[in-house]
Amino acid sequence: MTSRISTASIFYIASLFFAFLSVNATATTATKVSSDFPAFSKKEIQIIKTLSSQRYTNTSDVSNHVSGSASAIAFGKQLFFSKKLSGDGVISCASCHNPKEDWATHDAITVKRTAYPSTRHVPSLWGVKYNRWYFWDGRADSLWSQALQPIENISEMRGSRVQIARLLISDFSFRKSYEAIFGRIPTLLLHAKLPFRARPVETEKTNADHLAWVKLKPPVQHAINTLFSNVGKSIAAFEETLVSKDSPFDQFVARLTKEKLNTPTELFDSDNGFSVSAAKGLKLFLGKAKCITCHFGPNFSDGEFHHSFLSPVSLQGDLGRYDGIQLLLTNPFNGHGKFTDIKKGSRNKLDFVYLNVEFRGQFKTPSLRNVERTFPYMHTGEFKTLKDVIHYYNTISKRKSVNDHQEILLKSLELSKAEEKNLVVFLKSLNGYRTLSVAQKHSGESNTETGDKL
Amino acid sequence: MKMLHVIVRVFKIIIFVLIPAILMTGCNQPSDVMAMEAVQLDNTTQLQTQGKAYTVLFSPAIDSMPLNKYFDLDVQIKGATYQTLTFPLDMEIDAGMKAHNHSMNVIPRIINLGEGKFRVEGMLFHMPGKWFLRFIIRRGAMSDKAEVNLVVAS
Ligand code: HEC
Ligand code: HEC
Repeated sequence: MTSRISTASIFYIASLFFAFLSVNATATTATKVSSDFPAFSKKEIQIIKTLSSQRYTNTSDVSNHVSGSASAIAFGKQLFFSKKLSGDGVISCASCHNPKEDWATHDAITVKRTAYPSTRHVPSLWGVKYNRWYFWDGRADSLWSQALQPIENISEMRGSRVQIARLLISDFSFRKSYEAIFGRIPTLLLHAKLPFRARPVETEKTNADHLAWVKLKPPVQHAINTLFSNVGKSIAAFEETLVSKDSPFDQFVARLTKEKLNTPTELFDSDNGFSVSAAKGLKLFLGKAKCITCHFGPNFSDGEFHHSFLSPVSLQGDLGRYDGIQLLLTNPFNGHGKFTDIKKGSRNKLDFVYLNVEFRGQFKTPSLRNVERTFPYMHTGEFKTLKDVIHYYNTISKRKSVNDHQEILLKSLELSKAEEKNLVVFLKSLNGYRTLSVAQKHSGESNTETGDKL
Repeated sequence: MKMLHVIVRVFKIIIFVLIPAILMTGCNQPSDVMAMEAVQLDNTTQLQTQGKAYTVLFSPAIDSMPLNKYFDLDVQIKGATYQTLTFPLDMEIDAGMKAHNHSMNVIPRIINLGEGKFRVEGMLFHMPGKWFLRFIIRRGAMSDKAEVNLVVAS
C-alpha cells in the first residue's frame, strides 16, 4: 500500500517537474503542436493581434483641415509628383520618395544636408500618417509642416515659398484646383509685386532669399505663408493614403484563431510568405530579441526616439532628436503657430515637449512595414540588408561608447545564426503585396497627369 | 528506490531554492525612493507618502495606464487621515524606466485646482514595461514624496 502511494506520488512529482521544466523552457500555454511549429501563448497572441494592419485607425489629422478630403488628396498627389515645385524645375518629392522604390530611395545617402554635419538616409513614406513626429530627428510635428521643408531646403528642392505662390497664381490647372479647395487667392497677393524667389533664412540674414523676403510687407508675407501651408496640407492629405496592408503577416494574424492553433499546418503558409521560420522569428521579435519594446502597433513603431549607437554623441556627431526639438520649437509652422488648424485650447503634443541631454544621438524608430524593400537601413543608411541590421542588434554592445546615453535595453542578444535568420524571414513577411501595385499605379497615373517622368 | 530519492531531492531544491530565486529576480530594482504599497479602489490608486504626511489618490489606476498614448492624471492629495487639505500645496511628478535609464519624453502640465486637487495633462509612457511614478508634494519648504511601480502592457 505505502509503496503504491509513493510510486503514484513519485509519478506525480516527476510529471510536475517535467511540466515545470517545459513551461519554463517555452513559456507557452498553447495547445499541442508538432515540435517544429512554434507555439504562441495567450499573452503572445494578444500582442500579435495589436500588430495587424487591421488595427490601423482611420483618424484624420486635427492640424490639417483638408486631411481626408478627396479633392485635397488629388491635388496633393499632383503636387507630390510635380517638378515645378523645385527651384530649378528638375526634381519632385517623388524623385527621392519614388513609388517604385517603396516611396524611398535605394541609394545609401543621396543628400548631403547642409544644416547638419552628417547625412541621413531617405525614409519610406509607408504608414507615414501614423507617425507622431516627422524626420529622423522629429523636427516637424505634422505631416503638412514637414512637406514645406524639402521644398525650400537648398540640398533638396531648392525652391522658395514665393515661387510656390507665383506657380499657383500663374499655372491655370494648379490655380483651379487650389481655389476649389481653399477659396480665392487673396487680391492682395495677386496685386503684389513678387520677387522671383524669396524665403526667410533666419540662420543667414545676408542670404539673397532672406533679403528679398524681408522686403515684402507683413500682410503679403502672411498671405504667402498661408498659401504655402495649404500646399503642405494638400501634399500631406495625399501622403496619408500610403498605408500598407495585407502582408503575409497580416494574413497570418487573420488566420490566428483557436481552431487553427490546433492544426498549425493551416496557420502557416510558406507559399505566401508566412513560413514556420517567420513564425519563429515573430516569437523572437516578441520575446528574446525584445524588438517589440520599440517596434509595436500596426506601424511597428512607437513613434519616439532612441539612441541606437549609430552616431556617436560628440560635437561632430549628428545629435538627432536633441537638435530636432530646438528646430521644432522655433518653426513658425509648428502646432503653436498661426497656420495650424489645431483648435485653441485643445490638447497639443507640442505643449509637453522639452529639451533633455538624454536626447542626444536619438533617432526616430522607423516603421517596419515593407522593410525588406526599403533598404538601406538606419538614419545613416549604413546597412544594405536586413541580415546586416539583425547582426548589428545581435552584437550591439560592441558599438557603445562612454558618451552614449545608456539605453540599457539595447545589448547584444546572443542569438544563434539560425535565430538571426528567422528574424529576417519574419521581417520579410511584413511586405504588403497588393499595395505595391497601388504604388505602381500612382506613378503611372502621375505621368499622364502632370507629364512628369520619374 | 535510490533514484526516486534523488528525484525527490531535486524537486525539493526546485521548490525551495530555484522558484523563490526566480521570483525574486525582476522585482528588486534599486531605488532612491522606496516604492510604496499601492491600494486599488475602482480605477483609482491610493498611496501613502514616505513621510506619512499625505495620502495620494490618482486615476487612472496603475493597472490601466495606456501604452504610448497621451493621458491625463487626476490627483487628489489628502491628509494622512483622509482629511481635505485647506492649506496651499505644490506638486511635481516624475516618471521613468529605471531598467532603461530614462525618464518620460514629455514634461506634463500640472494644473493646481486647490484643496489638494491637481490635474496632470500630457502624461506619456512610450514603451511597454516597468515604470515608476513619483509624486513630490511641497508645502512651503517642507516636502514629502510617494512612489509606485507599475507595468505598462504591450
Ligand atoms: C533630395 C531628396 C528628397 C526630396 C526631393 C524630398 N525628400 Fe523627403 N526626405 C528626404 C530625406 C533625406 C529625409 C530624411 C531627412 C531627415 O530626417 O533629416 C526625408 C524625410 C521625409 C519625410 C519624413 C518621414 C518620416 O517618417 O519622418 C517625409 C514625410 C518626406 N520626406 C516627404 C517629402 C515630401 C512631401 C517631399 C516634396 C515636397 C519630399 N519629401 C522631398 C529626401 C528627400
Ligand atoms: C530601444 C528601441 C529599439 C529596439 C529594442 C529595437 N529597435 Fe529597431 N530601431 C529603433 C530605432 C530608434 C531605429 C532607427 C535607428 C537609427 O537610425 O538611428 C531602428 C531601426 C530598425 C531597422 C531599420 C529600419 C529602417 O527602415 O531603416 C530595423 C529593420 C529594425 N530596427 C528592426 C529591429 C529588430 C528586428 C529588433 C529586435 C532585434 C529591433 N529593431 C529592436 C529602435 C529599436
